[in-house]
Amino acid sequence: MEWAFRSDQPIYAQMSRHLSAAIVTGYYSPGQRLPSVRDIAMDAGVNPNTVQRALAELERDGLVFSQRTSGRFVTEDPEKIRSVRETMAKEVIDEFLKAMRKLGIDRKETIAFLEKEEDE
Amino acid sequence: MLSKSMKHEFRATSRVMLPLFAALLLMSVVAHFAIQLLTGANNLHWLLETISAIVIALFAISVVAVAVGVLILTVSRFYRSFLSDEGYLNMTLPVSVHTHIFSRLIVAVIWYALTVIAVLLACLIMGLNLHEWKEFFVAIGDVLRGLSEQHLTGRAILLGLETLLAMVIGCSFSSLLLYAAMAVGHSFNRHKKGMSVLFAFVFYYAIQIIGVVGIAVLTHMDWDNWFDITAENATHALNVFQALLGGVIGVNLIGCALFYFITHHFLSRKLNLE
Amino acid sequence: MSILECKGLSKHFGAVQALENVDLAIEPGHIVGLLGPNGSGKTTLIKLANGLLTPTSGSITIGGIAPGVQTKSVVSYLPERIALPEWMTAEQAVDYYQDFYADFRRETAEAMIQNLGLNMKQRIKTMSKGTKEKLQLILTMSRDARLFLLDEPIGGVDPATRDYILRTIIGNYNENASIIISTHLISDVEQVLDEVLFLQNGRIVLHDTVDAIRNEKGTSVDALFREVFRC
Repeated sequence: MEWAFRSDQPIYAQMSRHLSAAIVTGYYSPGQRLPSVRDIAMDAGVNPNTVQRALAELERDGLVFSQRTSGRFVTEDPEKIRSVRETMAKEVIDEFLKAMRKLGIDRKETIAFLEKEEDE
Repeated sequence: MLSKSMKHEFRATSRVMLPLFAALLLMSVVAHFAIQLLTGANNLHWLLETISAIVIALFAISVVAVAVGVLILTVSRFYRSFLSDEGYLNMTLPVSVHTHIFSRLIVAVIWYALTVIAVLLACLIMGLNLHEWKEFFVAIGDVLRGLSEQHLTGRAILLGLETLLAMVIGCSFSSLLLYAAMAVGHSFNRHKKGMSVLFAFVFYYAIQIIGVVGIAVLTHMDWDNWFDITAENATHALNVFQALLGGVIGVNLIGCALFYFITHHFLSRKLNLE
Repeated sequence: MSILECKGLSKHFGAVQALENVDLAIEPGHIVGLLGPNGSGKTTLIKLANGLLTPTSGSITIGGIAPGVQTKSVVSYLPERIALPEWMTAEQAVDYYQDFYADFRRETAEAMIQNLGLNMKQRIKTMSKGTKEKLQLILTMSRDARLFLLDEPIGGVDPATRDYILRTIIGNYNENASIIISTHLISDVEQVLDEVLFLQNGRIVLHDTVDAIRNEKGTSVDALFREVFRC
C-alpha cells in the first residue's frame, strides 16, 4: 500500500483513515485477516505503537475485530462497512462544501457546477 | 568471559604473529644452509659468498622484526581495542574492565614467551648441524645428571620456575607500563598519542629513578659478606641468586599492581573516546 | 519501572557543561527521538547510558541499575562511527557479537546480511562506508535487548537507505524494549517516534509525545523543532 502522511496531524489518525478507506474500497475484503501490526508498521515506516492505536480506532468503529491469538480481521457485517463508507463520504462532501462556501458559491450553484462537470 | 575475550584476542593477534614466526623459521633454515656453505667449502664463489652473507643478515633482521613485532602488537592491540573507534564496541560489551585488561595482558605475555621460544629455536636451527644437536642434548643431560648427583634437582626446578615467573612478571610489568601510559595519554582532550608517548617516558624514568635510589639504599646497608660466593658454597650461591630473584619478582609485582591500577582507573573512569 | 532514568544528571568536560541537571524517565516499549543541534549533549547522554562516560554529578540508571557489566548485557548500542574491527569478516563480526551477547540472534543477523547481498566471508575493510554502517546496524538490531541506543543512525544517507534503516529498526525490536534515536534530522525519523526529547545546551527543553505535539500545536515535530531552535 502507498503511504503518505501530512505533518500537521497525528499519524495514527491519518493511518486509521487510510485503513478505513482500504476496507471501504475493498482493498481488504470482509472477513480478511489484516497484516500484523509490525508488518503494517514496516510497510508504512511508522512506529508499531502508532499502528496499534490506529487499529484500536478501527476496532472501536466496528470495522475490524480481533481474535485473541490469530490476529485482526475485517468485519463481515456489510451494514457496518456501508455506514463507515457513508460517514467518510459525508466528511469529504462537508469539506468540499466548506471550501465552496469560502469561494462564495452557494449550494445551488455548487450543484450546477457538479452537473456541468459530469456533462463534460 | 575471560576465555572468550582471550579467544578473540588470539584470533586478532595470531594473524600477525604466526606469519612472522613462519618467516623467522624459514629464514633460519635458509641461514643454516648459508652457514654450512660458508664454513664447509674453502674456495667459495664470491657470488655465493655474498648471497650467504646477505641471507645471514636477513636472518638477523627477521629476529629483530619478530621481537619488535610483538612489542608493537602489545601496544597496538591495547590502543585499538579500547582507545580507538573499536573502543565503542569493546567498552560496551558486557565484560568487566578487569577482564579486558587481563585478556590483553595474558595473550601478550604468551606471545612474548612464544617469541623467545621461536627465536631460540630459530637460532638453534641456524647454528647447529645434526651432530651439534646431539651434543646439545648430551650437554643438557650432563647438567641434569650433575644436579641430581648433588641432590639439587628439586632446587634447580624451583629456580627454573622462579626464573620463568620473573620473566613473565617482567613482561607483564613492561606491558602494563605501556597500557597505563596509553590509558592516561588518551584521557586528554588533545594530543592523545603525544601524551601517551610522554607518559610512557615519564613512567619509564620514574621507574629508573626509583630503581637507582633503591640500589643506592641497598648497597649502603650492611650485608655481612652475604655476597661472598666461592666454589665451595654452591648452595649459598643458589640462596643468593634465589633471594635476588625473589626481590626482582617482588618489586616487579608492585610495579604491575601500580600500573594495573592506573590502567583500570583511567579505562573505567576517565575514558575519553573521540 | 523506567528502563532509563536520569536524576539531576550533569556532565562537565573541564569548564564545558555538556549536560546540566537532566531529569528524565523513559518507559519500556517507547521509541524516543533525542533531538537537538550539534553539541547539545545528545551523544554525551548516550555515552553516559553506555558507561563510556561517568557522570560529574547526579545519577543515570538502566532498569534501576547504574551502567556496568549487567546493564551492558541488556543495552544495544549503535555508535555514530564504525566500531567494527576492519580486519574481521562479516562472519567473524557475527561470531564476536554471538560470543559476548547472550541475547544475540544469529539467524536474524545472517538473514539480514544475506538480504543485503553481502558475503559472510567478505572482509569489513573491503566494504563501502554505507555497507559497513548497515552491517553495524544489523548487528545492533539483532539483539533481543531491552534498550537500544542509536546515535545518529541516519546521518547523511539517501532516502532509500533511510527507509532501509528505519525498517530494520522497526522490524527487529521487541515490543517491550525501548529505542532512543538521536538525530538532528527530525523529519526523517518523525513518523517512527512515540515521543521526543529536545536538548539544548545540555538541558531538556521539551519532552512530549509526537501525537500531543501534532494535536495541540497542529504542526509537525520538525516544524516545532525549527521554531524552538531558530538561530
